[in-house]
Amino acid sequence: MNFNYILSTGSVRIADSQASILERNQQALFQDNYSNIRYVSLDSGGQIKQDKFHFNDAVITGDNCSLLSVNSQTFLEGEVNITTGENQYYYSVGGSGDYSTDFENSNGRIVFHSSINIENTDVLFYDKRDQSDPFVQNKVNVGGSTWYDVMQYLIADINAQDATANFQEMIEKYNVFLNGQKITDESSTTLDEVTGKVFAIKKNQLTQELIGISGETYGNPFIEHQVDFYINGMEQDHRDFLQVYTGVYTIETGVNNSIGLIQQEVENYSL
Amino acid sequence: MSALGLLYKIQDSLGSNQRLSAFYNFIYGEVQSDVFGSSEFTGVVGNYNIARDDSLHSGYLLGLIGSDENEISNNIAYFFDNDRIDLTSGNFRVPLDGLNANDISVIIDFEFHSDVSNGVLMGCLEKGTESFDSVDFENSKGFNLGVTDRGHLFFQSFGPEGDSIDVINEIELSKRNLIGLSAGKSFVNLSYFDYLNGLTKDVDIPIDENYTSQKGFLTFGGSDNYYRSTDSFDTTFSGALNNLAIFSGYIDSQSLRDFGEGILGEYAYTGQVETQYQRVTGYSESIVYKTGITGYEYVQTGTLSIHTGREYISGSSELGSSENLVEGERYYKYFALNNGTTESFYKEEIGQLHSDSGYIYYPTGEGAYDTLGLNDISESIQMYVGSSEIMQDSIDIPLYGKSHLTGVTSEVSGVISSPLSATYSSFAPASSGVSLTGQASEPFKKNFIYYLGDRS
Repeated sequence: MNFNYILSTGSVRIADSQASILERNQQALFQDNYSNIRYVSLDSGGQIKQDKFHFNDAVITGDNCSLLSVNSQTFLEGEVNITTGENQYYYSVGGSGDYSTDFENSNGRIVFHSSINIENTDVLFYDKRDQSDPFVQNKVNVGGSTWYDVMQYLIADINAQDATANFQEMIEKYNVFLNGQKITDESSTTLDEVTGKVFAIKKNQLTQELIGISGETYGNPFIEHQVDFYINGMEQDHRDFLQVYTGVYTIETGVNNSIGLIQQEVENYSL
Repeated sequence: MSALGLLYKIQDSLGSNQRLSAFYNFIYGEVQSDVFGSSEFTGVVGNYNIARDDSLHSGYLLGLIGSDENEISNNIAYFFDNDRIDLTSGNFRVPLDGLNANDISVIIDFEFHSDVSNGVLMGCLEKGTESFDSVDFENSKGFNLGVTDRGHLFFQSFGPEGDSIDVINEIELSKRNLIGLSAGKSFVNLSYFDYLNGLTKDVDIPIDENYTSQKGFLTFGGSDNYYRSTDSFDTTFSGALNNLAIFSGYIDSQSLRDFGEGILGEYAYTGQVETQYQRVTGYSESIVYKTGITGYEYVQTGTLSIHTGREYISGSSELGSSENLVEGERYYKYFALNNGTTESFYKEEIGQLHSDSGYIYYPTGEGAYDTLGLNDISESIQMYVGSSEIMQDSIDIPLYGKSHLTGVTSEVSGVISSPLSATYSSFAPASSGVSLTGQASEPFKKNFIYYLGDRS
């Protein structure tokens, strides 16, 4: 298993290390919102589909400032397009995007691409991130381009707007995903055979990334609750991880976490 | 840390410091004698002067008691390290001096040394037995607040159903922590202040006030009733106290968090700031008149010369070149005429006779020329050149033309309103507040991640 943690480290002073728990690892709200029933999404068959998950619109307030994972897979945000019908307005997601949001009309509703059907049993987590546009490449079959080639194209795209010299610098500043799975390899024969969508999303400032095969990591100070967890590139539920101080005793299972009574007395009364 | 910050927060929230019974920031201590009713000397940390009555609640360093005053004085400084006291060197005891442990609120700023081991952070639990009608009843006073090996807070008390220990699993402690305890009649609220996430986590633990009333001491670092120790002088806690505040009565966790921010932060005060600004007080009006032709004047545009009188000749002669003339040669001799108003000249043609001739001439021969008696001698004669013209007297008459004058007429063009302004001063009120810019964040962070899931 490959463990990948993105830690928010903050700064040396409390004032510069303060963050909001509402902006990290939040579950999307599943709810009907009757104020905007005239704005609907269509599935690939042209039928109205229900997109009922919402961001907290006090947290996610604009485009390209959210990082959404659906059942551990990270989705790419696209541009929302609205087509005016007779009595309703129809959403579609443009470009290579998997989802978008119409803040003017839908109070934080997450609009999914017509090919994506979301059920109320799906698990959606989102973070707020610093606003930035993603960089997208298409990965075709190996005859067209290797994974290494695609990485070079991506670096060139990024470098045109944000000086980035090489792969190492790119993954220091950006999270790279292939079909929603986080990738940290510059070249891979396995990935050479894969086709799909590659995108890079800029990381927030003051973060530290740890990659390893051990589920535990210690020594790097971080702000509790401000960590993203990936296992084999898939985002995990933060509740599956303990974030503690290293001084605590090694966790043991089967040991009673309580202090035993010194003396127990039973009083019997006869009336 | 800032006592002024705490005082500011308390006064801002509660209006006064009346409920602040004690505050310690552990900068220094003193040596006192007869603290425990004996002749021994003890290290004492005085109550900070921001408290309601700083003569009360002086705290004792239980690890610094002895009969040698000099020894105590020499060692007291070692108990204070970077504005905190090390509870592994000795516990810290605070007499309640009229307070009751089941009706107080406490903020404890503590820090683990390295490894976390279970111990009592604040202890005042006493247990005993009372007899009534030959039946022994176990009762208690006070409670213990401590930390487990796992790094969780625990609350230990006693009640009608016996011993009770609640472990607060929801709160993960860091190396340094600010926690609050608010004791009420029927429950104790334990709170953890996360200043990095802006959170307050708190838990309510039910108690029975009949079993938690305690008017004696609060011992930080130990207890008279703990499974590892039955003497509050024994150290159990592996860490240090940075700050400690004790309030009378129950205070909610959010207020305690706010007060804790005052303890951690830096207090700043900005005096009244004067700002000057211009303000329009009215308008002055000025009438604008049209400009145009206001009149005419006559100016000289030239002159006209008019001849008067009759014509007359006017002339003059002037020296010309010199010529050598032989006697008999003829030349014109000029004579000036000056009749007062005009000048002229006339010329007469004369023959040259040498100036040395005496003007007596004798014939020199029979030729015609000879009979004249002229000598063939020459002399340089200055010639004259004359010029003359016909003159006529004239006078110059000035000629005048009409020119218009321009300026402001009496006809109104419009009105210009000009704003009048005056300078006023406004005063921004004095402001004060607490900021966390000076406090190091590292001890408040976590540094260990453990994956709870299956790793196969």
